[in-house]
Amino acid sequence: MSHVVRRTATLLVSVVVASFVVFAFLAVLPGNAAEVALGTNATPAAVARLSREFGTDRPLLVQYADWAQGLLHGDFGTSYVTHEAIGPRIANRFAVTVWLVAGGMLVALLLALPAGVLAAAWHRTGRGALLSGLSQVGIAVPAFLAGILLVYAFAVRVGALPAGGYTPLAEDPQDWARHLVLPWLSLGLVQGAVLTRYVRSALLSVQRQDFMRTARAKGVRRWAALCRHGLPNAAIPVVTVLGLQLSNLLVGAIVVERVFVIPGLGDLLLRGVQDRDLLLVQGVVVVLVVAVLVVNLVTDLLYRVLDPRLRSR
Amino acid sequence: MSPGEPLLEVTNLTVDSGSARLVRGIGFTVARGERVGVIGESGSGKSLTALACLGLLDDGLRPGGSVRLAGVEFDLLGASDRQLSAIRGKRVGMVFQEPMTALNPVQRVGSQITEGMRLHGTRPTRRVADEAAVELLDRLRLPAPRQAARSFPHQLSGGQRQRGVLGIALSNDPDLLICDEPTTALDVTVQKEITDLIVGDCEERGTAVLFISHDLALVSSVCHRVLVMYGGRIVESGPADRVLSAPKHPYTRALLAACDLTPGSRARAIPGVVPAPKDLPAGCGFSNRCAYADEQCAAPPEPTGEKPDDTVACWHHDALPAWPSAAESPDRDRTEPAHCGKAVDSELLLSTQGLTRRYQGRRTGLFGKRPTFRALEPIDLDLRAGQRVGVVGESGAGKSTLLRLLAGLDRPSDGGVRYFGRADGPSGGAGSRLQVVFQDPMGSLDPRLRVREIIAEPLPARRSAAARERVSELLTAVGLPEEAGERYPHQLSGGQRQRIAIARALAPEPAVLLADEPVSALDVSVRAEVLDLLRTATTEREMALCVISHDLGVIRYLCDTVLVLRDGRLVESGTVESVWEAPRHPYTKQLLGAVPRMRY
Repeated sequence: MSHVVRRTATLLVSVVVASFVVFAFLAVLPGNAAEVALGTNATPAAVARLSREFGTDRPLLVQYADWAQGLLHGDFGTSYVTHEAIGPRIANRFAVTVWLVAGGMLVALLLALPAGVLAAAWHRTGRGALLSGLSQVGIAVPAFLAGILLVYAFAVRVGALPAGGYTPLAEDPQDWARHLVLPWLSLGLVQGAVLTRYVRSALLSVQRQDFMRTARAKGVRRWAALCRHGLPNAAIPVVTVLGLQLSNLLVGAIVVERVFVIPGLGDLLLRGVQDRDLLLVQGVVVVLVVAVLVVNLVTDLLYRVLDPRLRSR
Repeated sequence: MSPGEPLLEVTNLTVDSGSARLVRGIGFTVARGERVGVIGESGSGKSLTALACLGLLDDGLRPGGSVRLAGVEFDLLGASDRQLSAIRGKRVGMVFQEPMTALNPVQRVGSQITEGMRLHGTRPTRRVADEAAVELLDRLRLPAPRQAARSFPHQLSGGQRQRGVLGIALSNDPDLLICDEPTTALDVTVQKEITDLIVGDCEERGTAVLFISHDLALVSSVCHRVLVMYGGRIVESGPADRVLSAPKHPYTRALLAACDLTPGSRARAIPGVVPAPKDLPAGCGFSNRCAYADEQCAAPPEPTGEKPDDTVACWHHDALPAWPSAAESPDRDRTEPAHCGKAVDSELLLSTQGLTRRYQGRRTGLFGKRPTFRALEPIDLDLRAGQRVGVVGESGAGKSTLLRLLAGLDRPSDGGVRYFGRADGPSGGAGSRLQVVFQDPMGSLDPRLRVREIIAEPLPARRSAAARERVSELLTAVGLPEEAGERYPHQLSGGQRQRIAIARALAPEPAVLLADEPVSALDVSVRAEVLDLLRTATTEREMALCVISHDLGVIRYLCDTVLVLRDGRLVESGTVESVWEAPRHPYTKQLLGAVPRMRY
């Protein structure tokens, strides 16, 4: 229990540090909010007036404290560019990205678990080599290229699925899924290929362990031993990779959202950058950072569930 | 099945890897309730034989021949995984060498035992199986069996884990129990408990045992009958008392001589090393190391004997001198150099005052105090020139902690070590006067350096002509050919690697040599050689030697003074003779009593 407390405390400290770093980075970029809002022809006096209005003329730490305090209440501020509240916009978009990433991860797992087990069981045979080769190809293909190929195959040639766009889940679940299938596949196939190799190598190293021989010696069949004794042990290194991949997927989602015209966080982030909407960019980046940190925390806690040796420490 | 039918019948068994034949056509039987020992050094094919019987060989290995089990219609060697799985764990149970890794680390011990019961349907429900597992652990004298069944493997000690493994093997009351070096990784007292348990339980239930070990004394105390394997063949077989008291094969004789570490005698190493399977001589596999070999041995000898279960495979077994012959047995009248008396007034090289090591445990709560573990209680000891001190104790006794402190590889929590009369630590000037030989010769040699470079490393001018000469000198001294210097560690055998480690340690002519389990990773036939090397090095050069070993025989053979450690505390010390003849501390008595003795 004390471990959970300790890890959560570490998470909170990390969030504070990360949010400050994000804030500081964007604050030192040339061109402050008032200059952006007023355009290139603004007089220095007008810029100064607007800066006072925005509060961007105050010391950096004060501005940070103000912004951070808002964040604690879920208030991300109001955009200097669009004059909309940022919080609700991020919340809407975040849900879309979570669906995208979760689906992509699920595709990756559904692909990698059976493929990894088969590749391990068939290693040193032709079939195993074929699976390894396929996963190698999968790793080499970037997600956006996979996305474009999928669009070409399923949307353009077959015409079965939409090439882009998004329908909220609450509006029409079936249409929602139809729009997300291709993005899920393009995210999941690549990550699944990477994961397949990790599952395979983790299983192969577990297979060499003495306890696998013990299991076989008590009469467990080859495949059953692999699944019942191999997988739970192989899960420990695989979860490490899974945590890292989830973070990767968040980043990969930005590109895939672009390809499939999905209104997610990535799309919002890119728009913020284009419009030089610093406050919006800050907000999105902080949300992404916190998401990555939370994923890490969950991975870390998952270790203890999977590995009793860590629990007693 | 007829009453006379053997339980297990192995005929002409072979095991091939892609490039070599590892088991070269062996045959033997195990009767119901009989305990058969398989003796052999590493590479003899004894473990492969056991694994082949159950179809558990690694993917790259192919078996040939036939293995029949009483009551089973088919040949186990050609059987499918499904057919074999019905036999494994039901008719035949198996115990492996490494209890630390033989259990699944993420599954509770109890459920690992019940898995086999449920799989073979010997217990109707999960609840009955759970209860049976607890009863089984109780029968195997595991303290608090109910709690042990709920534990994960890492929560148990080595001996407790091995009882768990034994529980898995015995869970369905098998007819045959195969034990592959079941106690090699355990402390002597635990070893005795486990072997007593195996013998007692199998005796009571009429379970037959195939007991694989390199330890002749252990096999003699467990088995009715033994098979001696060398180079993938059975060279001799027969009743344990006959084979161990009147061995017929030159290899069996050589092995017995090499094992005999009786003090005052000189154990006889077998010349050469166990060859790799592809380098074995064509005829008799032992012919290139055998003193009696001639042209006839180029043809493989068949096992011959009056009875099928009392055989020897040697062309010359009739012509060998009576055992024990003067030329083969350890020479007992060898005069010992009188070091004991001399050591008292010789130069004091190393002394400790209240040397202590404590470790801080992990904090239990957020504000809790860190618990302290005492790895080594305050200890005072003196090491004088020419003295050979042995440190014995079981795992966790603090032996290695003591050695690390003496070598300056760890800092004491309290007290200190004075080196050569100074208190400035072994670094600087004292460094080359103190050298260490570690347990694992593979892990302690840099794999990327040539042997020559490894030995030259502690020398002041490594590349000088003088250094080259010194290396050649040392190679000769440790009994290696000159060209071994150009090789890399992985190209050498375990015994050769340990000799290189010793040569490296001797290179700067140290005054003190510390050795941590110097022979425990080595085969019996080369063990004697390494021990003799250490012994001559110390007597010839008035060097002080401090040896750590869990093997009491090694300490008795090599040392004149012994320290007995238990739980970080020095419980007894004295001369080797006095401690062996009249141990005072009950723990010392227990340790000495647990050492397996040759029964015949």
